[in-house]
Amino acid sequence: MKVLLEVRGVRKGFGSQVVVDSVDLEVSAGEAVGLIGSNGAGKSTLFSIIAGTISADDGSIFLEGRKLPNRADERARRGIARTFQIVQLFGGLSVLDHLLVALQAHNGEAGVFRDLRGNGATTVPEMTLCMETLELCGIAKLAHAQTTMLSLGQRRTVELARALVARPKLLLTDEPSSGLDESESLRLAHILNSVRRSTGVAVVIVEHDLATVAAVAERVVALDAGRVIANGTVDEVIANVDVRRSWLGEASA
Amino acid sequence: MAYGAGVAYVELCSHGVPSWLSLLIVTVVLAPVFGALLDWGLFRRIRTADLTSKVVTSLGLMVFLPSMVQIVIGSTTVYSAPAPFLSTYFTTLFGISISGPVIATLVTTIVVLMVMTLGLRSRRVGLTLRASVQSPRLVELHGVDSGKVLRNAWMVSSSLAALAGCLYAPQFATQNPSAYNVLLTGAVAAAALGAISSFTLAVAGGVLLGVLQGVIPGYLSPNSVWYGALVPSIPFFMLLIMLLTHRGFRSLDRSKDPMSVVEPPTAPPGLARRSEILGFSGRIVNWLAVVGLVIVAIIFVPEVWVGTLTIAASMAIIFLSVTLLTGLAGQLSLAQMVFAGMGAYGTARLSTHHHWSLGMSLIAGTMIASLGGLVASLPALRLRGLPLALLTLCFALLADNLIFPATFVGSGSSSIGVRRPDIFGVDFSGPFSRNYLVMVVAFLAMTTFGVRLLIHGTTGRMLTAAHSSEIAAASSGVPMRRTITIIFMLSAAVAGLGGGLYAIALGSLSTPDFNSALGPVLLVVVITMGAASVRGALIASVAFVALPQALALAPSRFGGGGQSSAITIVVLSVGAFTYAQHPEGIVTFIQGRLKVAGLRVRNLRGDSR
Repeated sequence: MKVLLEVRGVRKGFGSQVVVDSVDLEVSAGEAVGLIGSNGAGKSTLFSIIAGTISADDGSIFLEGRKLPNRADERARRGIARTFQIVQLFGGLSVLDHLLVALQAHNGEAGVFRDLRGNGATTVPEMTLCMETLELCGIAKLAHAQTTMLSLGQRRTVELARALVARPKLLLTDEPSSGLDESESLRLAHILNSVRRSTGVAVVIVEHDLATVAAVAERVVALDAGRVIANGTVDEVIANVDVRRSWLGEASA
Repeated sequence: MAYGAGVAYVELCSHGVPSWLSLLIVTVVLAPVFGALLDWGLFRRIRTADLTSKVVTSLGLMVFLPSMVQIVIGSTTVYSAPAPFLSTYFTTLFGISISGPVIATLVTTIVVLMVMTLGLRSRRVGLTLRASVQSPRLVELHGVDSGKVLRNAWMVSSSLAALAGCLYAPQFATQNPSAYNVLLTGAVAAAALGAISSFTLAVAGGVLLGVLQGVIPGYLSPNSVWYGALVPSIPFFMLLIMLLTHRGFRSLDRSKDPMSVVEPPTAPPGLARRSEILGFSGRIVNWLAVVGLVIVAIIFVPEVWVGTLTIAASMAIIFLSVTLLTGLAGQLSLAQMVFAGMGAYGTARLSTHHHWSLGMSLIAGTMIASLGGLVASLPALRLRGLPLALLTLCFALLADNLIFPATFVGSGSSSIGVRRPDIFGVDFSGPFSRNYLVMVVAFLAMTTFGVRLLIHGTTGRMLTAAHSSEIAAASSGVPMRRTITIIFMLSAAVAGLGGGLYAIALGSLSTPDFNSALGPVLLVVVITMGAASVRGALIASVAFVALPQALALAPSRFGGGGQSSAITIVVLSVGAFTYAQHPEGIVTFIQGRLKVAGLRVRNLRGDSR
């Protein structure tokens, strides 16, 4: 399968503490990869480095063979979308507005000059794509709702729809089951799988909940102290001695 | 606070109260009571609000209080009060003669420094205070009455400011709030050196500033332009360097309160922006009424009011620049009057001295202002909220001291004439020219239309998103740097256009017309009326220009006469105190209430049928 994302020798330290240490990672087009590890293993930092919200001290990241620019907005326009562990929605905007912001910004079709030319109104293709995405995520009925009125599960789904509306090549999703009960987590995993099937987007999921990882990911990468300690299928990684010692807390596997 | 205390001290002294007793009354009785009142009436209510609300409230107070003092006491009191201590004492130390008041100030500073350092380092006072500032609710969970702690902090802080005011006031025969602005920026710069939290470093910063301001003039000729310009600018340069280099300032506007997630954040101005108060037909009627009113005003208004309306229309364009930058982009700029001044001086210089045509001068003035906006936008890419407001204030004060008095811009302290235009044979001359009023109103209509397109278009939506979560907006592909830069330049260009038209309306131009002190007034007045809609700016400008004129005509017992400007500022700034609860501003708030009242009446009628 064609390689989509290549992470080469990425390193990041905060003061004297190295959080991500020479990490290599590959994600193929359409693949779903889970990133697991104990708290402080460096998964969220690596995740933010890929998204462009934190800059790496060393190493390079490529998307479809092209080196990625440093800024998050440029990476988003290249096709990397993300969700957040603590849900980040736009106060004062409806669900539909959330999708319009992402779609128009991604396509480079939003901005001062478009508005001053009198073309600020939403076009029919833009509206159609937004509604299709909302239907794909099962929240079309909430299109005109204010996000402050929604439950956490619905808010996470809105975040997912916002990330997917511009049809990204890679979706980074950070602990999507955080704060959700088991049935809501599985519902979100189900949405992620159906979105993958219909759009072909590759997914990198950072998650503590192994059930959600197993429901979404085909391959799992385990991190410990900023280094990759295992890489394989869910069963292979869970059976790995180092993983059991560092993450599952077993004295000996 | 220092200004009010200085005025109170001088007033008490002028009524025969001994200077030491006046100082005690002001610093030990009046200031703490006033501090407690401020906390009770204002800051207690916004303790858990976001930093923008706190900055807006403080700016409102900064504009409101000096005007209030002027109304209550008057600005014409001329009395040289004696220094509180050792006013007639003189001594010589190492061959340098030192006056008693200087010794008294030094001793007072050292005593205050020692007491405050010991207090802030103690666990009981210092730790509780720092914790209460960071998270009042979390501290309350541990059984500490954070309200009481913060009220005490306000009382002590007011007392210290009053002490500074009393020591400072005897230097002046007439008490003027602008003299205390230097104290304010000096204090902020010194606090910046102390990285806001270290009291010892803050005092050391203050001393360093004082030494620099004392030593540097010795190396400059009193006749050079640098003498008049550089020395007062030292605190601003220092603050500028600190704001740009100190990491702490960049994250100052981010909430560090671990309890901030337990309740939803204050609604951003965008919430008001995107809710439609009126239906489609209502809006058509609304706009037709506005257009009709403008036409009637242009044709039938008495000649004496033509000049006032022209100035109001050009001011409205300047006010709209605040709508663009603050209402739309959520950036707090105190330098909008400087951009207006750049446009005004550019237009005036080019049309009057270089004989350019009016159109070309206006375009060039607007472009000069937008270049100023470009310069101001560079730090805005790294700073938000309070640091950005402080930085733009530095920029405004620098312009006051360095740019506008320069002979190639203005004419030093004297005013420069501005030519009235004559385009295609249409006469625009004379202060009461209706033709010129029509032209300014046409520019205003175009600017209003443009700003509305941005508010209701993709830019408004993008900036509302970024205002709410910048990281999520960036991760969605919103090009923040480009958008912020363009909005800053556009806003400065709009202010510059308004400034140019204002200069032509005035007919002459002098430095007080675009004084830096007007920046906070402008921002507060627009926010009070509503920064999120063009209506707020338009109504604010009419009120700002017409209210002093109307008050000047009124009998003195109804606020007429010399205090009309101060009363206008007090009336128009008072709404800033409700920003935390109603960021949409008074105009939108009243419209909302009217709509609710209208719906109730309709429902009642429906019920009765």
